[in-house]
Amino acid sequence: MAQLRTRAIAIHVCADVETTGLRRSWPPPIASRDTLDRAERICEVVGIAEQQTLAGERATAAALLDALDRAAAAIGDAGLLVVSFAGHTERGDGPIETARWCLVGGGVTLAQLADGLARLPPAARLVIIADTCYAAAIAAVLHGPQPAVVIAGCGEDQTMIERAHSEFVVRLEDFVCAGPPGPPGSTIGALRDLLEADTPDCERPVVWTNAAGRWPDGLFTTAR
Amino acid sequence: MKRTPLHVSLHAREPSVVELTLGERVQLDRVVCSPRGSVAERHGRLLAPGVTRVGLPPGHYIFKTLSDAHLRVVTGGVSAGIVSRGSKDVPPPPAGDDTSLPVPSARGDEAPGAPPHFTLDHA
Repeated sequence: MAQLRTRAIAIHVCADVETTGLRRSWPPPIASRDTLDRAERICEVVGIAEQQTLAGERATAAALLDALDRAAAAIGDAGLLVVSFAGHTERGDGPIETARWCLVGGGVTLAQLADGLARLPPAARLVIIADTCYAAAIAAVLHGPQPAVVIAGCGEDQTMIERAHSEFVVRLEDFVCAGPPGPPGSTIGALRDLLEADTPDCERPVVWTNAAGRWPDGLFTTAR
Repeated sequence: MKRTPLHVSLHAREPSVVELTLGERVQLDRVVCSPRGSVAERHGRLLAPGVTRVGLPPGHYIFKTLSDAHLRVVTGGVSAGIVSRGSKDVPPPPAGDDTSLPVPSARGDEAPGAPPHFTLDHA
């Protein structure tokens, strides 16, 4: 008898203490806790029962990579993995895959993240919420076959200024928790329109997918 | 060479009006204190490309853009300066600014590149 595998898992990474990337230390972003709270609420509303939060001193590269490994082993082929990150990204001078999400004791490169995510079952769906500088860069680095949506606070070559909360996360929560359902197949486009609206050219949220047309109607739908 | 954003800091010492000439859609933020440090808070509507007049109550403001920008002080007292984003250090306030409210930080380092130009005129 086949083992029953988890249908949906969320991993939230909240860099709410001093973190490091490649060359320097970073103070906690002011909005990181707010983003974590909203990401947890979003997942709760859509019925993701298994949520793991890496915050404070637990927000390490080893813990994140271990959590991805565990998710890859636990999640079913029709499952959903949500990864949220609220923190700093150190761009550095190298190719984009060497940019790092800054974590406690050292960062994790986008290449390492992509490698970990590529180990998910091929048909498992992935949603990444990136509240950080160069947020959309992870989309360019993903290389697995999994259908994915990246919801990013800014473009792959853009930075974000410190605010009390991240507006795109506020809008995302409203969209998921309060917004009326749109026509079938409209979810990703509608979210993109909502997040991009009324934003400046040099700090514009990005909604990216490699699965246009084959993503379920609900962004975080957990059953198919 | 790749362009990096130009970050401009403004300080209105009194109620002022400025005219901004911009090459793209820009958000002007007011800098406010929070318990955890300075944060940016949107001030008014987005500024469209072209020339826009903006009223500024006394306070600190910032904006960033990937295009050249020109600021003309129409009335009041406004000082302005370019903010260095090359390091995580809190940048100095604009020249002539006698207060010390730090400009909000970015959520990452700045990629190498050349920023656009910024010019300032007083009427």
